[in-house]
Amino acid sequence: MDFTLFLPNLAKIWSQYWKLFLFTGLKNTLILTFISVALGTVLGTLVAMLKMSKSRILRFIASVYVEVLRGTPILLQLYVFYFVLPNIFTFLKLSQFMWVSISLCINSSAYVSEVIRSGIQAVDKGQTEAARSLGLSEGQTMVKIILPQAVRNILPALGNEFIMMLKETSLASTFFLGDIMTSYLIVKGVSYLTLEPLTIVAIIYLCVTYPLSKIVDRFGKKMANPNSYRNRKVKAGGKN
Amino acid sequence: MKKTVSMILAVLLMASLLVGCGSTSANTATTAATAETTAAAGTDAAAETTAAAAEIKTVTPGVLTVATSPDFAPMEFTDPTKQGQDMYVGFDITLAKYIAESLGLELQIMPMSFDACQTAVYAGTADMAASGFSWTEDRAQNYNTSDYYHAGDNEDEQVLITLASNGDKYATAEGLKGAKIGAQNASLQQSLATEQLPDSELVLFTDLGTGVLQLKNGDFDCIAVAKGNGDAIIANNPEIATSGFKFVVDEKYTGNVILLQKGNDGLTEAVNAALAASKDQWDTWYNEAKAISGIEISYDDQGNVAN
Repeated sequence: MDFTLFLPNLAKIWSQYWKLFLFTGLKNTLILTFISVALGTVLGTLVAMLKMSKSRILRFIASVYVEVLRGTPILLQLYVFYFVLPNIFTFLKLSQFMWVSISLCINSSAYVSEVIRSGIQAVDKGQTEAARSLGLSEGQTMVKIILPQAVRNILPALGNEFIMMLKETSLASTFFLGDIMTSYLIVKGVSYLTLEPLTIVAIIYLCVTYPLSKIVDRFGKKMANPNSYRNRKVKAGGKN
Repeated sequence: MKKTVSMILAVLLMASLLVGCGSTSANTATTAATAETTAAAGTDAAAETTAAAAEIKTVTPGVLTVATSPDFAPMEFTDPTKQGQDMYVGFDITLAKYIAESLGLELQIMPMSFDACQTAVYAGTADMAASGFSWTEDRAQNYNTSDYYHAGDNEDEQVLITLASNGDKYATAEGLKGAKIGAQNASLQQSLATEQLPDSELVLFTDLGTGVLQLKNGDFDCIAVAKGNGDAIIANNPEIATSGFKFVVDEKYTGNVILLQKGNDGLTEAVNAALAASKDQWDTWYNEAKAISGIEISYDDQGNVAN
């Protein structure tokens, strides 16, 4: 393969389409990710509550929901939701963009619900027992004792979910929603060049995901155990 | 109380899962295209013929939704300098505009991948798919297909493109014996290569951009493309040239069709009438589309990018 034209083409495409990649592509990718993770978190919390409820039927329903969504490819879900939902909810006049966001959000909710459930269940059982024996009601125990500790487990995992979703939204390009991968399709469509725009897309994704994952990492370590020796030293301004 | 709330939530969740089983019938609002509107919109002979199709059903009343895969210059592609619906340009888009106008409907382009276009029509999300579809037996079974339309030399000439360094090596069927020919899956080029180059090895790819990359990479010796696509490819890839080989193209293959939902005969007739009326303009539209496609990047004699 002849690579002599690779760099000139790369430069040419970047100088010609950088606005398309950054202003349209990156912007839409971030919007899509925010919408789907934010709504997915709300929906996922509800599913997690169902999954931990006392009723066996509710638990079963939530399990089916989570298993179906986690056990099928996201592209398949996108097709099904995109083509079927608008036919069911005909009274909802939503744009293409919103339907795809909703599809992604439903998918995200399944993963988030598991994150939240495992975060809550990872809190030591002794905490519940202690709180209950001190006379706190079930609700008080959850809100005052369990959730504050569970948040420590949940937040870093949610950060990872955000990074995951950022990459998953590339599937929205199936419907030319204007995300970064759509920019690639557009440029490929007019220029019939493939590797050059793909390289640009890869660099943009990395520029966003790498710092994000570093932040989530640091955050996660801090959250993991706020009273660890290391963190106390840091707080006190000491050196290791 | 708590239980009721969670019960409702559960039902909602189930509902959102079960929609997959729901009906796929489209919301068939009827738009009565009266003779007046049609006559007012269609400025030429089309008016009378179109008026005959009195009842036209569209997914959204008053709007003609067209699914297309805008990554296939010059048939349909995206102009990155424009915004919104204006972004979509190319022969099929011009044709869709004409059809919508002659039916007195507002045009809405729904961009999506090539596979998804067919699904969109099948599921009733879009009224029709215009994305350079060739007529095939299977498509005719599952969709209403319009009459043929021709886009300049895009379909009339089917050629092989190869690396320029190969010269005339693959200009004849003789030279192509044992060569690897790439063709897009489920395309006209696939059937042409199967029929006319039985001694060559046929390898399939999913989209043209990937095919070009594989050709440059040496996975194929040649790829089979429509002339128009080939020109756009060569314009941007100076290391690629036509091999000199041309397929014999049977008349039945030279046209494209528009896919519509099975049973929507009213709209199909109206589309056919608009096709018949616009015949004279096809070449102009095609040349216009070609003029704005694939020429963004040009090269000087040394193969360097010229600004």
